[in-house]
Amino acid sequence: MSGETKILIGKLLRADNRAFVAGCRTKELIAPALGALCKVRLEEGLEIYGLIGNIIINDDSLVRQLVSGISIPTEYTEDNRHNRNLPVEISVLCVGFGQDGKIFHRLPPRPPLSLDALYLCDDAELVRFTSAGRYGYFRHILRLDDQPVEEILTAHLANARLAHAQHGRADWYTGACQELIVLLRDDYEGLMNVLNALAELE
Amino acid sequence: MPVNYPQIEQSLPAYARKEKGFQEQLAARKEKLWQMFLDPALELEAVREKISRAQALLKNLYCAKPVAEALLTRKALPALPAAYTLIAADGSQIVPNRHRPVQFCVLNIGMIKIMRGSGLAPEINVLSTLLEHENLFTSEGHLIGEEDVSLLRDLAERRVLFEAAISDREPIITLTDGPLDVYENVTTRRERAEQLNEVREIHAHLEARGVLSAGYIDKPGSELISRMLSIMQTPDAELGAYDDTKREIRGISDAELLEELLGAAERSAVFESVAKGEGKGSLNVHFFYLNVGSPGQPILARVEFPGWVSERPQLIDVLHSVIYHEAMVLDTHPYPYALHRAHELAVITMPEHEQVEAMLVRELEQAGARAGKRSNKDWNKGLTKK
Repeated sequence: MSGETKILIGKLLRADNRAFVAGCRTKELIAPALGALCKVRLEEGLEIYGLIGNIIINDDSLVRQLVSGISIPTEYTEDNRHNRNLPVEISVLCVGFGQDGKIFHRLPPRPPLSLDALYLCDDAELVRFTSAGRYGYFRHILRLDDQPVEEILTAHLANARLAHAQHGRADWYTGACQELIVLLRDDYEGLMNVLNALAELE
Repeated sequence: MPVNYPQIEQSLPAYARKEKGFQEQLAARKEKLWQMFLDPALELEAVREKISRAQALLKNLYCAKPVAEALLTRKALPALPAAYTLIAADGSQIVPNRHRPVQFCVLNIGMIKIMRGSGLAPEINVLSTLLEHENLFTSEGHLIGEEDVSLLRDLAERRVLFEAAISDREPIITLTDGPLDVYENVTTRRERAEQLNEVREIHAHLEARGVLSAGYIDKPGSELISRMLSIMQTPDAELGAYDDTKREIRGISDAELLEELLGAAERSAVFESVAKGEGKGSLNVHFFYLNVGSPGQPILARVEFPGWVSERPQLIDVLHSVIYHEAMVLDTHPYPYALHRAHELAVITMPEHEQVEAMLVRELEQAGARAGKRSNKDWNKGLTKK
């Protein structure tokens, strides 16, 4: 079992080996952010890692009616955010797993189960996961064709770069950029999109 | 088999023709009633005095009686208090059904407490009660029915409101859907009398605390003002023999009558609800009509409250402004938000109903008690629904 990752950000709604969706209440939507590394601990010691690829705020007929109203007093907005059973859906892309103290950048052997808890990884665990191997988990992100790859990558790399710098590994980010150039060498358009997005970090 | 649509379709033209004719008659009656309502001879004290006399003479009476404002009163929307507490409760129920494997009754009360001006999320709660087995049967041994369960639900709603009506953010307003008083058609059962007494006691305690309790009636259909006008037309000598079944102008609700009078956000005069006779409530209920619609599109609701509130006009203003603004939160279909949320919290879905039944059957089996069988009729109906 790895370091402390105590921030619970949701519970599993549905999952397969490649991705899963967790739900949380709107009031709990403070910690989760696009590109953040999170994980689910399974009972047998397996830890499944993922990157947040999308966050969806659901609605219903009452919310739609309130939206069309003239003005909504604060207490009624808070009622809908805190009390009503409208889960925020957090879509997570599987990027690897941990077992027996080792990190693997492969897809997990099996998906997590419904109602499993989803935790946000802290900086130490982010460094530990991203330091394992040679950026092998990038391929899971680059394989996406229905999500903004460059945005998820940029959000993730911004977090990871900072975490590594604080842990004395400023060269990690340079290595990550070089690896992306290699992985996208046959996809000029994709590479340009990623590099343009990464330019935001400079 | 679906509905035989061709048969229905054949009946539609004649139905629409008759409906049109009926509506034309109603329009004529409404105009006549409106003219009666405008009669300058209908002075406040004269109306009050005549209705009081009718009250004394008649065994059964259900009509409006003005309290202290002229009949044609229209009050503009007062300012909303900067801070107040609004508590709404609504209930739903599982009525015992002899066709199911086990007979049981569940009362589910949803409560929401909104502290306006606090900026905080409201407090919500759901209270679910499995009715004690001995309360499932009447003294004659029959299963209790819809009417009994409704009375128990109304009582449970009021208990919840009473418990919740404590706040340092005053004024405190409690709100229920429907009439403020609880009504019942049969008065012979001792248990019901006890339940009604408890409702009265709750209201007395709320009054002592200064809590404004109100009932909100959406799309009200009652003809209290029409009856009042009918009594005013009755010669004094015939008042003791007044028979409401022979009322000349019927079918025009108070809401239809007053939509001619009230502008958007305005309220009517305050009336007392004179309810005398079997099955009528026992609280002293006052009410006004409130236009929660927009200019040119009136939507009238009736707001009921205890008579003591009328003695303090500033409290009538509080009810007027709070309930109007509450309905305006859902302004495309105006209805108090708190009541809608209380209902949303309370509603028991069919899967929940079945789940509770399954829990009960399991528990009975574990306790070595026998669970009955679902009736064949109910089982086969279940096939049709799938």
